[in-house]
Amino acid sequence: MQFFEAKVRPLLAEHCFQCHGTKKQNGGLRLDSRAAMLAGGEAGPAIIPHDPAESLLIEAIHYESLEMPPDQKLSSGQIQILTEWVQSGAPWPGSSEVALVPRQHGLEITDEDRNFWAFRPIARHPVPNVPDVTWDDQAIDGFIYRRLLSEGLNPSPQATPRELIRRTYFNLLGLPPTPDEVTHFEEAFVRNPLSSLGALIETLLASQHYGERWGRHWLDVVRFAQTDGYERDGEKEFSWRYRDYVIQAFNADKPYDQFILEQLAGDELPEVTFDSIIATGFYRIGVWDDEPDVKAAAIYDNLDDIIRTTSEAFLGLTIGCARCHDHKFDPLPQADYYRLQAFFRNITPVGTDQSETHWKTNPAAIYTPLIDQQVITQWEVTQGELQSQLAQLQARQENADEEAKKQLDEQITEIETKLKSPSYPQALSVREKGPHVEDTFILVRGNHLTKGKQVEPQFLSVLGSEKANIQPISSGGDYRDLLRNQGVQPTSGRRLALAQWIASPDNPMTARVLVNRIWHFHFGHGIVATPSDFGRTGQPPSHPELLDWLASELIDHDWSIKHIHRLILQSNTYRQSSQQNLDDHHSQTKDPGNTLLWRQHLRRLDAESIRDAILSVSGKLNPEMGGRGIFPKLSTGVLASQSRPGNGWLQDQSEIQRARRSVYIFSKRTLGVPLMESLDAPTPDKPEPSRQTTTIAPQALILLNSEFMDWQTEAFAKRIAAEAGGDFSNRLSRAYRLAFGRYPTEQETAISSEFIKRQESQWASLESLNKDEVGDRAFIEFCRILFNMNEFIYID
Amino acid sequence: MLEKLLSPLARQGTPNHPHCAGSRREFLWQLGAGFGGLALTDILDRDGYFSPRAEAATNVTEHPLMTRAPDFSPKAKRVIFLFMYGGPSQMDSWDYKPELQEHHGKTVEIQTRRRKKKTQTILGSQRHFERYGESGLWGADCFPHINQQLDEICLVKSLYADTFAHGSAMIQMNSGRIIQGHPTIGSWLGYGLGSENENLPGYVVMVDPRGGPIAGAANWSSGFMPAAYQGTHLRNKGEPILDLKPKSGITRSMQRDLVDTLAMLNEQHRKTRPGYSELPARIASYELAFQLQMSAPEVMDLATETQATLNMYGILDPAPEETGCVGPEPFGRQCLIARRLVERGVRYVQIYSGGGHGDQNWDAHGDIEKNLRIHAPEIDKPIAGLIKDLKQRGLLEETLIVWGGEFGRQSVAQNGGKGRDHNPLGFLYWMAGGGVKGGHSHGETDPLGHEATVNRHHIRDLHATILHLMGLDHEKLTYFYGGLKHKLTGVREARVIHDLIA
Repeated sequence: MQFFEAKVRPLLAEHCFQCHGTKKQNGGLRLDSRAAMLAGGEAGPAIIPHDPAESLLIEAIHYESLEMPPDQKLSSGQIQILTEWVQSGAPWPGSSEVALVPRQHGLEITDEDRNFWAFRPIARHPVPNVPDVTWDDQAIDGFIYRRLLSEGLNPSPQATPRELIRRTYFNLLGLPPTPDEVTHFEEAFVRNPLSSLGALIETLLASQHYGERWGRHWLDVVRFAQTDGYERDGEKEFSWRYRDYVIQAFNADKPYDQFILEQLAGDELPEVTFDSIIATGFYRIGVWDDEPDVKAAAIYDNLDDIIRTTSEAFLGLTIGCARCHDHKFDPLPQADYYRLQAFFRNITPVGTDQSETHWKTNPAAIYTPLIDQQVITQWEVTQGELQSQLAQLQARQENADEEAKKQLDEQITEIETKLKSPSYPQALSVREKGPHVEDTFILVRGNHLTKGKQVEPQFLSVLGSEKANIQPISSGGDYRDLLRNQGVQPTSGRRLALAQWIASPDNPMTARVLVNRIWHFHFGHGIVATPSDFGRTGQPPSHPELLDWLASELIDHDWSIKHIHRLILQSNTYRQSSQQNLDDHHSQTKDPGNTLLWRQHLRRLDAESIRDAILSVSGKLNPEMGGRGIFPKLSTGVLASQSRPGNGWLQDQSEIQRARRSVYIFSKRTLGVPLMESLDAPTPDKPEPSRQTTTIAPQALILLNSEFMDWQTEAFAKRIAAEAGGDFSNRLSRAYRLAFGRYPTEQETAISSEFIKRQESQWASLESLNKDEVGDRAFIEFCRILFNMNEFIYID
Repeated sequence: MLEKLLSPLARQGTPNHPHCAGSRREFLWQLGAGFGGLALTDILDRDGYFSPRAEAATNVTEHPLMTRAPDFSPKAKRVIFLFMYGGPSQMDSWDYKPELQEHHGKTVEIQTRRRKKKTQTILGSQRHFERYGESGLWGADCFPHINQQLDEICLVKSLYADTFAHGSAMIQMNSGRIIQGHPTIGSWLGYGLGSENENLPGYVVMVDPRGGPIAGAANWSSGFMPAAYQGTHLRNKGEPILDLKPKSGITRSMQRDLVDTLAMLNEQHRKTRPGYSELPARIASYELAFQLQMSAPEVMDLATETQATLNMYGILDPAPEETGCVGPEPFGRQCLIARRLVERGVRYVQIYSGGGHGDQNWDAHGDIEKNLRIHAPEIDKPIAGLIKDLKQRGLLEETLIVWGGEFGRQSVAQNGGKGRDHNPLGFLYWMAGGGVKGGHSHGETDPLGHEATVNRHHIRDLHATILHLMGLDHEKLTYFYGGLKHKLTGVREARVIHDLIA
C-alpha cells in the first residue's frame, strides 16, 4: 500500500487523471479507481490484475498498441513501477472488494451466473465445533466463533442480565421491561442463565406486542401506507386490515411459506379465508396516481410497483432494473421482467376510466366482501324486510297526496339504495379481470407503445426458467362460491403458480432472504448487509454457511419464524456485550464495523420504539390493537404544508387513542408525523429493507419541546409521584428503574438532585406557585431529561 | 469529587455547559452533529464502482451534510427556487406572442390535454408588452418591477414536461420523476455538496400563507435518501422551526441548565461506552438544537433590516383591492428571509407562491386576468427586490434564482371562457444570478406560445443545468437504491443548457 501511495498514485495522477479522471474520460476510460480500471473503457479493461502482459494499460505505456500518455512516453523506471503494481494484483487502498463489472448485454445466462452464491441451492453445512466450552450453546455460535478464530478476533464477554433483558425486550417487542421484570429476570438468571433466558424468550414471543414490533419490519419491506399519494392522497379504505393481518400472522407464527402464499395468491388457494383475502392487500398498498398523464403507461407503472416489491421483498432481487433493458449486473434479462409481469397481468387496476381527468377508484374491482353463509343469510333476511317495507311504502304511495308522495319517494329511494349495497365488511384485495388474460409483451426500452416479443408467465431464467404450471381457478370452497355469487370473477391461477414457486424449499432465495432479514433486525445488519439485494450489486454474505444453515432450519421447522428467533436469541453471539474493549486494538482495527460480530452492536431504537418506550414508561401506553389507526396531534404549522390544511387527518381523537402503539399511526403518504420522520421512519413510497440512523438537531428539538413530550413528561412525573410517594430518593430510584431498569449511581443522584434544586428555585422566582407545584414542575423537567438521555434510546 | 463534574458557575447554581476542556464551539466542531446530522461509516464516494455496494451495505451515513467538494468549480453556491405553484402563464408574462393577440377569438385545432386535439378558441393575452433594458427583452405590464431587472434575467422559453396533472407535475418538477418517492432537487444538492451552516438546515422550504402546494411535503421529500436530506419547512407564523422552543414555561436559562445537566448525565453513560461516535454526536446535537433556538429566529427577524430594504421587497406595501390577493408582504418577507438564509450558507431555499386550490394559486382555469391581478402583484416587487438586494450585496453572482411552476398554460380559452388550462408542452422558466447570462433569451415556442419548438428542453435539462451551475455533474451525482444508481435527471439523456451559462 505504501508502494501505491508513494509511487503509483502520484504517477497516475500526474500522467493519466487529466484525460481519464473526473473531468474527462477519453475513450470512456477512467483510471482513478481500481474498479474503473477493471471496468475499462471502449477498448476493454485497462488492467488484468497479476497479468501485466495482458493489461492494456501496460501495453499502452510501452507504446505498443495505444501510445499513452500521448505527449511523452513514461520513463522505463515509471513503466517498471506500474508493471510491478499490476503484477502484484493492482492493490488500491480502500478497495478490497472485487470490482463490479457490468454484464455484456444480450449474453446468455452462463453456468458461472447460475453458480453465483445466491442462486446455488441451499446446502446444510455441518456445524463447526467450537474449542471454547463456554461458546457451544447454540449451533450458530460455531459458525461465528470459527470465523472469529480464523481472523484472529476475540469474542466479547456476555452482556449483563439487565442488558440482556432490555435488549431482548426491545428486539422482540419494541418496548422496555418493567422494573419488576428486570429484577425477576436478574434473579432467575443467576440461578440458571439458559433456562431463564429461554423462559423470557417464550414469554415475549407469546406477547401481542411481538407481532406489533415484527409486523412493522415487514410493513417497511412491502411499502405499506394507507393513502394513495399525489394530489388527493385518498385513503385506501380498509388497508388497515392488511396491517392487522401482518401483526396477527407474526403473533400466530404463521409459517412463512403460507404467509407468502396468502399475500401473493390468497384468493387462489385451495382454502380461501378472510385472512387470505385480506393478505392480498399486499398488491394495493403502494403509491397510486389517480390522475396519470398517460393512463396506458400508468397501468405499467402500477404493475412495476408490484413486480419490484415482490422481487425485493421475497426474492431479494432488484428485477425492477430490468424493465427497460437487461439487468446491468445480475443475470436477469429484460424478458424475465416481463415474464414476471405476466403473472400479474390479469390484476384489476385500481382505477377505472370514469372521467376525462381523474381515475376513480373502482370499489367493485379492488374490494372483496368478507362474507360467510351466516352473513349472507342475515343479509337475505334484511333484504326480505326491506322489500316488504318497500312494498308497503309503494302501496301507500298510490293513495297519497302530492306532499305525502314526495316524502314517500324519499323513503323509497333510501330503501332502494340500501338494497343495492349490502353492508358487508370489506377487504382491500387483489382481484382479477376474468378468465381471459391479456397477452404480455416485452416493452422495448420500457415504453408501453413499443411492444416487442410476446412472453408467457415463466420463472426467472437463472433459477431454472421452468414454465409455470398454471391452472385457472374457477371454483372450490364455500367462501369462493359465495364470492362468485357476489360477482367476483374467477382467476387465472397465475399468481398461485408464482407464489408456490417462491414459497418452495427448492427456491434458493426465499428462505435465505427471510432468515437474513431476521438476523438483520436482531443485529442491526444482516449476514448479507443488503437485505433486499442478494445480487451482485448487493453485498456477499459475511457467513455464507451460517446463512444456509439458518435457511435450512427455517424450512425444516415448517417455516417457523419464531424458531429462528429462538436460535438467534439463545446464542452466545447474540448475548455478547456491546461494550467495546478498547484495549483490544486488534479487533478494532481489523473489523471496525463489527461485521464478524466480535461484540454486539450498541443500537439506537427506531422511531416507533422510541415513541412506544416513552408511552410505556410514562404509564400512558394503551395496548389496544387494530383498526383504522391513530392520528397523533399535529400542530397547525405542520398541517399548513397541505394544500387543504387538515385534510385526511382526524384532529379530535381522544388522548387514550393517541396513546396507542406507533405501528397504528395512520400512514399518510403526503403527511408524516414529524416525531417519526425525524427519527428516520422511512417514506412509505418504496420498499425499505432497513432503517437509516441519523443524528440531527431537529430530533433534539422535538424530543425536548413537542406537545407530545410535554404530555408524556407530565404523565411520567405524576406516575412517579403516585408510585414512589414524596421521598426524593425513592422518586429518583423509581424514575431510573422505569426508564433504564436500574438504580441511579451516586454521581447521577447528585447531578439530578442539584438540577432539581436549581429548577425549583427558578420556578419559585418565576410564578406564584406553592411549594408542591414548584417541586412538581421541577420534577417534570427532570423527567424530560430522562427521556432524552442516550441511555433511553441506545440499547446495549 | 462530584464538584469536578460541574463547572465553577454551575457550582454556584448558575447553569453552564459541562465540557470544561475547550470552548463549546470547539466541542461542536469536533463532533459535528449539525442540523444535517451525523452517523457512522464513511461511504460517500461518488466516483467509484465500489460506492453502490458500500452505500447499500450500510444503513447509516456519516455526516450526511458534511461539506463536500463539487465535481468542478461551481458558478453558483446557493439556489433560491421561486415556485409559482399552479402553473404560471408564459404568454402573459415573458413569452410575448403578437400573433396570439392578433388571432384572439379565432378557432384553432390544437392539442390540449393528454395528446387530444380539439378545436378551441384562441385566447390572446390582454397584457401590454414592451421591451426593457439594454437587452430589450419583452415583458408583460403585470410585472413592472421584475421587468426592470430583465437585464439580469435569463429566459428559457422552450421547456416541456411529461404530465398535465398538478400532482405528478409538481413531483416531477421537484424530483425529476412523475412517480412519487424520489429525492427532490434540494436533497440532491445536500447529498452532493453537504451544508455550509451547521446551525441551520441546508434545505429550507417556505409555503404560501393560503396553504401548501398539492401533495404537500412530498414536494420536499428526500425519497429513498436519509431523512437528513429532506427539506425543512420554515414557518412564517409562530415557530419558524417545529418545536423550536419549550412551551412548558421554562426560561432560556432554565433550559440551558437542562441541556447541560442532560449532557453531564449522558457523559456518565458515554464514558463507559467508549468507541461509539454516535453517543458524543447525539450529545452535541442537543447543544446545536439549543443554539438553533437563537439562530433560527434570528434569520426570521427582520428588525435589523432597513426601511429601504423592507420597501424594496414590497413588505410595507398594502395589498391591492382584489379579492383573494394577499399583497406583496408575505412573499416579500419570504424573499428577504431567503436572502438572509443564503447569506448564512443555506444551500437551497424554495418558496412557494400560491397555495391551496383554484385561484389561491396560479391555476388560472376561470379567468387569467383575474388570476394575474391576484398573484402578479404578490411576487413582482418582492422578486425584483430580491434581485436588486442580492446584487448590491455582491451575492447575486453566486446565488442562482430560479423562477417557474410545474407547467405553463394553454394559448386557448378553457371551455370557451377566459381562463387557460394546464400546459406541459411548452412553458417558461427564468433564472438570474448564479452564473447565468443576464438579458438573455433561450428557445422559442410556436407563434401561439403553445408548444416548445426551437431549442426544446425537457425539464431534466433544466435540472442538469442547475446541478451544473452548482458544480455537479448530473451524470455522476448518483445514489444507489434498489439495485440502481439513481440520478436526479433519470435514465434518459439530459443535457446541460450551455447557452444559458455566462
